Amino acid sequence: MKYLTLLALVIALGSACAPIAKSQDTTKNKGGGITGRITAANKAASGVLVTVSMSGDAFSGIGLTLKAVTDDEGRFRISNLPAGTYFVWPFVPAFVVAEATGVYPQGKSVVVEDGETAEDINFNLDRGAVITGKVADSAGRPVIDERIRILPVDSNLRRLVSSIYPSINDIRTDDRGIYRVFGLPAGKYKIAIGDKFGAFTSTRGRRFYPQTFYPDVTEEAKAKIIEVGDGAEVTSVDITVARSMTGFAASGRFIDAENDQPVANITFGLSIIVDGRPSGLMPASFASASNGAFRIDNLPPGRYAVSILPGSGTGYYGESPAFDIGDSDVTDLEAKIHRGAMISGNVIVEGNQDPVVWAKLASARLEVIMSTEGSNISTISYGDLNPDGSFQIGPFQAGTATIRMGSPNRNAAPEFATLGIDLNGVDKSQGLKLAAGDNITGLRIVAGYGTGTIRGSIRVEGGTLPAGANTTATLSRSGSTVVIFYARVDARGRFVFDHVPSGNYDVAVFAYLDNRQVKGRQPVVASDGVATDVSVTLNLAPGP
Amino acid sequence: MSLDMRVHAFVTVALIAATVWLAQPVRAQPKPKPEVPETAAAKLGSIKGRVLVDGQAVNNASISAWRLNSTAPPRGVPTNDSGDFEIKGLEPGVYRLRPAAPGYVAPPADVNEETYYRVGDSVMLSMIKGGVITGKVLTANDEPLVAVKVRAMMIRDINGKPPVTEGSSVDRFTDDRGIYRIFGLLPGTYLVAAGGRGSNGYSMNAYDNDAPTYAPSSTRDTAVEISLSGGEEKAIDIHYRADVGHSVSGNVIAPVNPNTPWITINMVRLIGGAPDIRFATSQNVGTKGFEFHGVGDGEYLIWAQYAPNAETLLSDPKRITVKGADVTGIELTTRPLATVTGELLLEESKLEVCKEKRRPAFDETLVAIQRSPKQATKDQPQVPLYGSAQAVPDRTGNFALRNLGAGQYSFDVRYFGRYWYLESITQKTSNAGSRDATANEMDAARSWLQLKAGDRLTGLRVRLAEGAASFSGQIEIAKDEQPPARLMLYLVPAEKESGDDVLRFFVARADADLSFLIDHVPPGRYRAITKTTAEGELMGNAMLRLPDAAATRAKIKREAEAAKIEIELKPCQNLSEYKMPLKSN
Repeated sequence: MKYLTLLALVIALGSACAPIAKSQDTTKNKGGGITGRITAANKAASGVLVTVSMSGDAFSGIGLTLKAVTDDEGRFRISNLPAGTYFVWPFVPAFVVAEATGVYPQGKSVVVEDGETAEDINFNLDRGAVITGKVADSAGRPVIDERIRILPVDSNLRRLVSSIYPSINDIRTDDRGIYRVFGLPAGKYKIAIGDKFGAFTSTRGRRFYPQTFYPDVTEEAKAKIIEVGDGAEVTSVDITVARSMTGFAASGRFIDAENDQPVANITFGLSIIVDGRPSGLMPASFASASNGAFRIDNLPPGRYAVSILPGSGTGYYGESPAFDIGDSDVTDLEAKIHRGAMISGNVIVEGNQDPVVWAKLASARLEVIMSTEGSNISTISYGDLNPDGSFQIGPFQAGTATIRMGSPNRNAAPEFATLGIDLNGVDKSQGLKLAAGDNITGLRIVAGYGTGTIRGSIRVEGGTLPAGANTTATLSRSGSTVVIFYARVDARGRFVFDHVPSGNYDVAVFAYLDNRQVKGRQPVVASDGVATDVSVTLNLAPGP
Repeated sequence: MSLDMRVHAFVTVALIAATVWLAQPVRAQPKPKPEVPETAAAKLGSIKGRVLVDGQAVNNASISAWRLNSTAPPRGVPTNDSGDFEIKGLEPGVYRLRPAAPGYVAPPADVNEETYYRVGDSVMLSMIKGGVITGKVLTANDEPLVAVKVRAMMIRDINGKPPVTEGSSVDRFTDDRGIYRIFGLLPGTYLVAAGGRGSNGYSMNAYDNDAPTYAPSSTRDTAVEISLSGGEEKAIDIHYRADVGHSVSGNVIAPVNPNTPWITINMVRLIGGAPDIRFATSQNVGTKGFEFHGVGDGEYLIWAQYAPNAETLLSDPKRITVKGADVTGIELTTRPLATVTGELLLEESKLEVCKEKRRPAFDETLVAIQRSPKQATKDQPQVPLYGSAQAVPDRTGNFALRNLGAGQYSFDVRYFGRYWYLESITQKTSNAGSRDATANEMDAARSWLQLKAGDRLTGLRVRLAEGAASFSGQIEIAKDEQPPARLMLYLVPAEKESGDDVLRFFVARADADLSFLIDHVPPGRYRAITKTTAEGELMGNAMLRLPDAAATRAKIKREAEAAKIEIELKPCQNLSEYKMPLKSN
């Protein structure tokens, strides 16, 4: 059968289990494992390459990918694993993995405990569909190296389509204008070229195409739908576009709002406004001249604002008024910008005088999430701590700053828990409001250092969780709504919190189903050096 | 301004901007300013021109401009249907231009042959169709390998030399049929390999940590070489070997800056001692260790680079051999690179004939330094990077050339000023106590400047003097004689006291119609001679003046003495319509 022949990808048989990276802590128990079975059309799929990465998902953290190949029964086994969270991914990009729970790519997150083998990490494969065609303009010239967008008509397919590997966001036409997308789940699709965020590439000089749907229409409602079945190949899905276009320039100058002087050599970005809200952002992509003048070339029609976010090292932030590009250049824009806000204060480690722990503070960082009213976009920035726990961070824009303890490595979980934030006795853990030019002093961040572990599991009642439901767990101090830690819940309903200081906590679990959110809650007591188990019930029955 | 200029096919990328400028005594008008009072640096202007392929406009061409010594991102604009473009709102400065068009390529300029532009220039740039390499990646059983990365790496350019952007490669995934297609390739000689990446980091693809399989089913040593000329398409399949390869690991010792967390470790394969393909991985600063995976047997050069601040730190490179086993324990310690600082000085002429001539602007002058391309020795391997720098002097004439690796260097100065010439390049010596200012200066134009890690050389002086002459005309051949190809005209000093002054040696290539122009010449007595050169041996002033071209210069001087054609050039004189007899070689 063609199915199984194609599945027999006998590849890395020599390395059923490649060695683990040196950076692993060799004192940990390495007796853990993961095992499962892969099927296709309910038959065993042999010779399938399965990869396992070291952290929560394939993207976060540095990890060596281990490999295994399924045997004649479709089974695979990875052994000698230390306790940790792994990502298991059958590497079959021409197929669809229906039960994948990762966001990208299609695999499963698995928590392995000391000496434990996680079993039944199973996958069923469906042969993916293929859509291919050629794109040319009205003069017959091939459209080269342009992005093709594959749009599932059924919203249920969106998550699955967005986890296709190689990225569905990277399908491009070649030098003949030909594109090919594979690994698609069966269903209905619209195919398009060009998009509303054309400014991202056009401002670098690239000519752009008006958004055009198969076969040759600019209105989405008139797009012809392509329906593909399991493993089908649909060819000649050709698109004809109008000739590429050039846009118009926006120019003006930056003025300091406080003293009306031009601000020289500022790095700035472009905000793309859709339906009245900033919906796309190119931060720090342009620079102004020494007399404060700025210019952005080749903007497609649309609404924009020139914006400066702090972190560009200029100390300023601000925006021009929104402007519309139609069929001519826009000139004389005046962007009034403000000097940013600064925050200083201290981090204290609650209930801990151990100088070894306080020394760890020096390598920790503060993570600051800035959100502004009326914008969909938050920015994240990091600030260092002085060895004594004091800090001076900024400049920040006006808005609300949510501050947490972060780790020196962006991808590792923080070692310190953020237990509280206050300014002169007033709780600021929900966010600190900042205005332009503010200089806030005396911010107190209470951190906790712990060596406790909470191992959680979910008990589902009133139904079953659909495969791929996005489930998250949070840890807060008893009676507080401030979230100290987040954890992802894996395919078996397990999750882990590390570095938990002794104390009383509430564990909450949130499952995002297609049309609602379901919550569960459970109190738990954590102790240093101890792993505490907790079970949280999720009741899926629709409530009153 | 007419754009009807000649252009070489793709060896030289642009027409001589200086000639364009000289024909236009008035600069392009800057943009009209809004109510803001003008500051000293306020004059913005534009660079315009055309991008063509075989004399025709090409679909979707665009152009990017980078301003040297600026942290600003490049400016980019599209071309119109005729291939014309204009980049507006540019600050005075020295610019690099790069055309782009999907499916087409422009050869990268050699550091020595790069053309620089300034505001007001009008430019013509050429591109050629990119080449294509396509094929299938298959398992040993002829099954397609899906979503494996295939890379095309250039190992020699069209002239047989190591590629300018060393280590560059383009990669694509195979599709569900195992087919890959890599397009937009410059002409040259390539290797194609599937799988492997030689490094760790955000490794995701199942084949990233294998040793790469080179076409047709080989390791690097027996890999087939694919030569591609402009726009050519070639097909080659790869049978995947799934070699695990070995690991190369170690630790980098570098100062900690938590704001710049990543140290890059590079490893380049050496083939016959010369750098071939390059791999990279990273180490998080403050943690221990880096590791390359999937490394095939062979000789490698490995080094670390880290830029915690504006300046880059580089470790001494280490040579390693991978042969059937992992290599561990490599320790790399980063050290600062060298910096050379100096000033640009302008010496005006008091002569009447040179009155009212335009001075070079500091912000349109470029001082460049480049390392001798000599092969590194076995005992002293050289990192194939950080061998050049360019600087634009600030308002006071000061400039800094940063991030230079160890080696020997020569200078190149580019400037705009028809009646100005490069009078000298000197380096301060540590001869304190001498009352004669120039006794403390060493001629840096004539000899190599030796640099080692951490050097901070100050006191470089570049002098431009007013009074330059130009020499132009036509090379005469007999009525039925065939004009020789690659005809060069040399100008060498006739005066005894200037005999060794390299800055008085000039060379220019004759145009197809046998006309020639040599400008920015210091006034004095010279001898002229014509010579033809071998293919691939085209020379410019910078190369003719190199310390190791002394024998060439001596030979040309002897031949010029024998030919007995003497030219006298007076300050600010334009000696034109000279009829130069062709000397038969």
